[in-house]
This record gives sequence, structure tokens and C-alpha cells, in this order.
Amino acid sequence: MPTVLITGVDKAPGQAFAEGFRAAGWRVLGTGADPVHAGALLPYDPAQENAAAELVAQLGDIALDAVIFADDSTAGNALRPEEIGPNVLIDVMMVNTYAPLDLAARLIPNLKVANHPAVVAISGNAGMTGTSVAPLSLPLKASKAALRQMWRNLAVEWADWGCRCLVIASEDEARAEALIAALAAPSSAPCLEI
Amino acid sequence: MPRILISGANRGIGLELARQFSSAGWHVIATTRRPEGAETLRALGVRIETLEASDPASIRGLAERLEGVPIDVVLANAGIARNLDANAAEVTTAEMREVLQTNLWGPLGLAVALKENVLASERKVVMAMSSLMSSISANDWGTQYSYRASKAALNALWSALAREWTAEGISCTLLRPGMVATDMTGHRGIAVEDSVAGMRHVVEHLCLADSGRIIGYDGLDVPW
Repeated sequence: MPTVLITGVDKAPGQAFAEGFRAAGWRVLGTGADPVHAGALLPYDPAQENAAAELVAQLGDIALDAVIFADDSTAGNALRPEEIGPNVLIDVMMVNTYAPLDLAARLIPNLKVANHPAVVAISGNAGMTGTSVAPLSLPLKASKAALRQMWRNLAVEWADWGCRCLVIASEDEARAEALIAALAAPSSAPCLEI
Repeated sequence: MPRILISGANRGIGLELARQFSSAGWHVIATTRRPEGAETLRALGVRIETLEASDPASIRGLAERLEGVPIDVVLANAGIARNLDANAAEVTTAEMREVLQTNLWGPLGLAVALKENVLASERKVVMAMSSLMSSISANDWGTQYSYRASKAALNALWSALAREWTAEGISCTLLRPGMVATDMTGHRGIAVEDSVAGMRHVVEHLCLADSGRIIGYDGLDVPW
């Protein structure tokens, strides 16, 4: 049974991914802060600097076939450009861009012991610079575009050990199915946008 | 006579931009962190202002000193690069925050602070210095994590800014200088004079319809 780690399963879209992967027969490890499922979820807050190290320590040497980074921040989405201070912009960048990069790098040993591992970033339409027409959401757009760029980098750096670096670029409801299908095809491109 | 403000103008591309725009008859406001050491810039006879491009208080101070001065083009050129050779596991929180503060928030903070100056001018242009390293679709060789993150984010931020400000008559565009032989590139690449001559031609001919574009020194659009 393949294992997937999904961050942010206590909210959308992580919740939907968790349900989709469970239904497809995967073992799902989820992070989140939902008190209803206290004990069932691994604690991880991407806004906290030591959170990644603590999560990795808790996971130990478990093999991860896939990691989906679904925990992100939408802070500042309603702000006009004139209202965006450095704190909100940089904080969103650290949660949405740096935290996935940092956690993915810390999970290299867990990914390397799996077959055809994959790391999956969630961009949505927001990260599709030049085509996104939604108003405002400046921190989200900036952070998701940078996240896509980081995933291109990872695809190059990790090509030698076969890690696939996938980006979910669509907002439609069937993306869990599309992702599961892509993961089932180990020959898919090293950096694929779905 | 149009007026341009260029941040990070004490050396490299910024200095050459100040030189060429000044020679072409523009009023140039050149910012630098350390005016006391900017002898070459001073020799150009341009107006020099102190600015730490990543510091909100410094940007506010600049805006106060420039209150009521129409500025046709604000060109956020100041930028930094840190550990370009780091692999994914070596990118630190501190490095990422520092690079983002200067390369991403800095241009936005400057554009916002000087928006009234731009609106009071004829050309109404806010520009930021991008890079081919920003291009996601062209990235098939990786490296330069924090720098690439900052520039890809800057592209998205400026594209979003264009979405908000074009209706107010402000053209929000990005420039790509090309691989220029400066301290930052180890003096590999094209001559800074040629890059800047190309970018000056781009700036001279900008209009509102260009808002949201990323334009190279060669006049070509850079792929997102």
C-alpha cells in the first residue's frame, strides 16, 4: 500500500486529496490542527520555523511515495496594493513558497526509499502568472508563482534519483483523481503541471 | 523634460541607467544606500537620494522628500543575490526572507510610496527589474533558489499590480537586462552599455498598452 503525506488535511483542498487517496487505497498521513480529529493528525504549522524539523523527526524513516503540500496561507488576499506591508507579503511567501521547499528538502531520505516518489505542490490558478485574471490576491499570486519556480528547480536537482515534481495548476474538483492517475504512471515527466 | 527615479543606481546596471538617461536629457533621481561613496554617480550631475530599498522607513522618508515632484518613470532596480549555489536543503529562512524583502517587497513599497508622484506625471510608468531567472517556463537548469523565487514572485506581483493600476492610467511593466557583465555575474555576459541602451529604448517607447508585460533589453517579451 503506497503512503502519501498531505499537509493541511483539516481544510480544503487537503481534505479532498486525503479522501481521494484513501478511496484509491493509499495510506494517508495528514497534518493539520483540527481538534475534532485530535491525535489523528500530525502537528505541523508551516508558519512556525521549527515545524518542519519536528514533523520530520516524528515521521522517522517511513517511506513516502508522495507528499502533497496543501497547507497554504491566503492572508492579504483582500488587500489593495497600497495596503500591503512587508510583513504580510513576506509571511505569505514563507508559508506558501519557502515552507514547502524546506519540508520537501528535509524529506529527501523518506522519498528516496520509496519507488517513483513524487512531491506535489498546489499552485491553482493563482500561480499562473500572465493568465490569472482574478482581482487582488497579490501575496497569493506572488507566492504560488514562486512555488512553481521552486518546483522546476527541484525537478532539475532531484532528477538523478528519480523524484517527480508535480504542480496542481487547476482548480477543478477532479484534481485528486488526475493526480492519482499521474502518480500511477511512473514514466510521467519529471516536472509536470496538472 | 521627463523625470526618472532609479533605485540602486550607485553601480552596475543602475549607474549606467542613470548615465544614459541623464545624457538623453532626462531629469534623473538616483538612489543609493551610501551617497557618500557614490563619486561616479555624483559626477553625472544627477539628483542623488539616500534609500535602503528594503526598509519601509527609508522608503517613506524618500517619498516625503519627493512630495509634489512628478516622476514619469519609477524604476525599481535595486536588488540582491545571496547564495546562488545553494541546493534546496541549503536555502535558509534568513536568506529567503532577506532576498524577498529587497527583491520583492522593495519594488512594491517603492511603487506604492511614489504612486502620487507617478500619477502627477505625463508618462505614468512603474517598472521593476526582472531577470530571465524569473521565467518559470524557461527554467530547465534550476539553481539560484532564493533569487529565482524572488524574481518569479516579482513577475506575478507586477502582473497583479498591472491588473489593479492600469485602470488608473499607470503602466506597470517589467524589464529584463539580459546577462550583463557586472560584479553580480562575475563580469560574464553582454556589455552593460548595450543592455542599458536597449532598456532605455524600451522605456522611452512604453505606453499604457504595455502594462503587464515583461520586456527584455532586446524588446522581446520574456516568457512567464
